[in-house]
Amino acid sequence: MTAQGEPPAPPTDRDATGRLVRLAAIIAGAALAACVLLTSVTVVLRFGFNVSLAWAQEAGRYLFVWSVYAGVFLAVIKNSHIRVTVIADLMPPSVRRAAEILIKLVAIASFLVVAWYGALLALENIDREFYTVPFLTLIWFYASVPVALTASALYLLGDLVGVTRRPDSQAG
Amino acid sequence: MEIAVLLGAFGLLLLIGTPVAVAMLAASLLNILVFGLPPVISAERLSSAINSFPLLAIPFFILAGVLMNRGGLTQRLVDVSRAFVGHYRGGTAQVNVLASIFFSGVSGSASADAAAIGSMLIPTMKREGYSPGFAVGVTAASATIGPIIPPSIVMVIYGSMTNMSIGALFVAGLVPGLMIGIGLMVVVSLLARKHGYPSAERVVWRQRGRTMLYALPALIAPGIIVGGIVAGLYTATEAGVIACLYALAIGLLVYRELPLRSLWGVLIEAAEQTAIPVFILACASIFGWLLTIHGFGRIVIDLLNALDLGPLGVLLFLVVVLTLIGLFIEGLAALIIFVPLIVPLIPAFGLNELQVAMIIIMTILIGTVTPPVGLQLYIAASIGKCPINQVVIWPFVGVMLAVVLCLVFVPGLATGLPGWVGLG
Repeated sequence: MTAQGEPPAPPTDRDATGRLVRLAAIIAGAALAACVLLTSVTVVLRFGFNVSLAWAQEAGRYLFVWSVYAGVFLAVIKNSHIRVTVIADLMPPSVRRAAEILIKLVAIASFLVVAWYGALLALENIDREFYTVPFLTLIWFYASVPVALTASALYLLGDLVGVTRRPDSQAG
Repeated sequence: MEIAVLLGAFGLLLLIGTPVAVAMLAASLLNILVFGLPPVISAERLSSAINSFPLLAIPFFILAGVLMNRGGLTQRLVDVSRAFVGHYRGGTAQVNVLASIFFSGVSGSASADAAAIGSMLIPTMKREGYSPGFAVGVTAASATIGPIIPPSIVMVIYGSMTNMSIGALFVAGLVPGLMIGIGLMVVVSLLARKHGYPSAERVVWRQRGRTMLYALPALIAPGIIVGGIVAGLYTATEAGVIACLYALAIGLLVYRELPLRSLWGVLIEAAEQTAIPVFILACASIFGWLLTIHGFGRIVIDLLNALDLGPLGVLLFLVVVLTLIGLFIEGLAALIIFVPLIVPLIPAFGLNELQVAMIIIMTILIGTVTPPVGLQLYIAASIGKCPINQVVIWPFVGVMLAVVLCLVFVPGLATGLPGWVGLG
């Protein structure tokens, strides 16, 4: 874990955190790009040719969910999830450090519980096909939450035991 | 008891500095596990709450905002504002407000507005001798116009939660948004006179015309985006994608300030900016669901019935309670948690849903600029490197509250325009 007041080390391509940031950013950015493209195509087809593509709408929604959960993981790594630090800032350093550890433990526990039930939910949907997209099953949609939250929990766990390093955080 | 555990755990976690989304998730899970509810609901809601086509408008309008900033459209809007109001006393502060009004016609996010306009104008204002607290306060307050004047991410979320027409909500925000803009400019003018803030030289009309011409592609963007929704040509989500394509085309081909190689960075920035509020939305949906099944809504209605307030009294009660809640709970979370509790009041007390929507949205936005928990305040203060307790915000909060009170007493301010264009 980064010591209090010590500037966090920037990630490099070679360290584990840097690679994770890149991977999450690629998923978040690519899913968003695909989502914009699909929706653009539906708008053009609807206006130009009066054709509506139901599958593009459904796929667009699922890509959005993946983009969001990849972004959630990215924000966990960057410590940029919105939080209120007014009271925490008033705490003495030792209490604040204890609170930080408690917050991480709460987050790890919550993420793992949801990831577990999310995985069960995803497995339940292993055979259910997308409503409008053939050959793809809903596990691809439901997997976003357990994958992102397991990764987030593991990252925080690593952070807690000092394995990983954190890139520049932008918000408190 | 269930409600006390839920709210108590949430409050405690928030106080020690837990991220808002995690605090809601953890408090909800505790409640689910302690009171024997099926835990799989937490995972189900985290994915299904955001699996909605209208919500796609959120990343699209955020992306449009980022493209506007990187593509030079925002800079042109600031230039036009400077040409028209820069010569007034406190000119750059007036530019800040006017540019926010223009910017809000394409972007739907207050945070994007605070970050974009703030990073352009706060350093300039400080250099010109404005107090950092004033520069930050004007930026934070004017940023709230972003989600009031259409398009608006907050309204997309409100509409998708209540099944109201997002188009009608968008149009309803136009008049109150402009009222806040004008009110802020009046207060800026009074404070600038009091503190002797500088003004720029008046720009001649020929120069103004030239600036407007350069900025024309940026200035007509709101007409294309909002006009299409009002005319029923496209939905808010489709308008979002049109806004992206438009900002992209202008940035790439007209202003040529957006190199193709920077697009990947733009996408990732937009995805990150989207994930944070949408995750709060997803976690708040579990939290709000628990409040509902534990009967919190019934408690609120019973309380209001017992107080015997009447429709006007209920609206004023909402303003007071939501203002107080906004002081302590992050805006989006407050919206998602409390709207499902407030919506049943609308038929119960014979209220107008558009009027109530605008009152709720605007009051919650006030909470985003007030200490201790104001996101826009934090964003602007971090740009201005100014401690929160030195920010001049209360005169601007006064303006916003005054406009909300106008809406309470004159519902036509919110309902008139949508009715006129056939959306109300």
